[in-house]
Amino acid sequence: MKLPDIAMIVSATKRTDEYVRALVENNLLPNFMLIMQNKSGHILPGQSSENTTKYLDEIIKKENIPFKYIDSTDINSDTVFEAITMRPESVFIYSGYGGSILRNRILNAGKKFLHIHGGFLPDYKGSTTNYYSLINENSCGASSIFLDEQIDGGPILLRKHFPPPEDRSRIDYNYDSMIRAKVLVETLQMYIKNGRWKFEIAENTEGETYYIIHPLLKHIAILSRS
Amino acid sequence: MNIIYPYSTDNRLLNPCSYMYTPFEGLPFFKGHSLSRKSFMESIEELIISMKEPDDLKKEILKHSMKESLGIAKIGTIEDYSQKLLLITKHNPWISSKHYPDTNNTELSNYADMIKITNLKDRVETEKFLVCLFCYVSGNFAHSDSMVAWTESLIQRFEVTKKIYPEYKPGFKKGSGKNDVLFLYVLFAISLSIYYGQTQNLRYLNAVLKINDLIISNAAQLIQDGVNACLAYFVLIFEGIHINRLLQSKGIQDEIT
Repeated sequence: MKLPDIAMIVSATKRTDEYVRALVENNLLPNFMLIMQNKSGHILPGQSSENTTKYLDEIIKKENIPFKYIDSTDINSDTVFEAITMRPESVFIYSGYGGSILRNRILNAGKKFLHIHGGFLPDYKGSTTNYYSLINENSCGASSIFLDEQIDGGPILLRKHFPPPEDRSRIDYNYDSMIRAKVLVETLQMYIKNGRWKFEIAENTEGETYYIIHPLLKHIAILSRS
Repeated sequence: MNIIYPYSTDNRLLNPCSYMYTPFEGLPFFKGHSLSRKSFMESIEELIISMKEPDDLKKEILKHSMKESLGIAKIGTIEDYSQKLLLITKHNPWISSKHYPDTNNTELSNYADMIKITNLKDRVETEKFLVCLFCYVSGNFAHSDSMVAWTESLIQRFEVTKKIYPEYKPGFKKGSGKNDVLFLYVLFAISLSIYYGQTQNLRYLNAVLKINDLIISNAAQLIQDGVNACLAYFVLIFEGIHINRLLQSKGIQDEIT
């Protein structure tokens, strides 16, 4: 089914492919897709060497999803801002390049940005949080929020724990994307069922902010056996 | 197979490392890291043994750091750090763990009141703050919510900029001054090392690991000052012990050895 008030603003990454795959498998089609193309010739954070828009191109055509390619990889650029504000949808599912942070201008453009954080909120805010939770609790997490000015501080729609994957060495590209996609699907299913957005935690003020994990701790998280 | 640990080979003040998407290299990575740290520690031992007695404030910081280091080193590790520390004490009696000044009327106690009267809206003099933090974590002074908040702010500043500045605008905003004052880095690292031991908060250990990469990558500058070198030595002892404990608890240690 088409989601008439929901669009996507995405980058050409593995995570985007997973999101779209999961949405299509669950018959949840965005009304429109804005795709930020990387034409620089360099791989951007969140991309691996295999990332292209090949899968997106195929699925867009197959599912008849209206789309537009944007020649910018910067979510805060004028080009992206104009493309978003010109659209009628009020909610945008966001899947950007790694490390990108939405600035106030776009956050206050009259749209809601639905983001799936790779970590169990509010406990694990910030970056690479699933590695920390693997060390602390031997589990991973993903949480859906609407973005605001606070890093991972927006209202929490849904949050879930997940067991560690069999192969922890590919968390960044495979497992992380998969569990985020699951939470995205479930969040949208809840929205359809309830007829509105319901929040598990509306005031997301607690928790700690984690920073990019040092490789030594990353190796401990990956190789941990308990 | 030996892996070269790459994160402290390049000067991290000139070329900060983002640590984004670092590659997974398996068990040999731990050996590479350990060899890198050990090699650096061995290279500065002579310097530390023969360091000059510093001013009163730094002397107190070193005394308390030695005490903390001896305390943690006694709890069995792979390397016998205790013997190395006692050797340092033997050649520098003023750092002896037997003589701890009362915290009243000492250089450190002069910093006690600072944190009570300041708040995040003030301009930050980083060295003063870091001495306060050191006092706080080494147990000399009572719990302070302000201290925790300031520590969080400096962690955030360092993690985002990979630098520590001598001054910050009110609210720990933009830093100013030269960002290559290694004393600030080693002092922050040893405080966070002690704090991690008390709290097991991985965010503190994460910052320590990055600071240590930076310190070691500036070895040439570090060895110009015996105090900095000695504090760096203590920090690396802490790091080694904390990491070994984590490896043990996660069932990885046996696979490395």
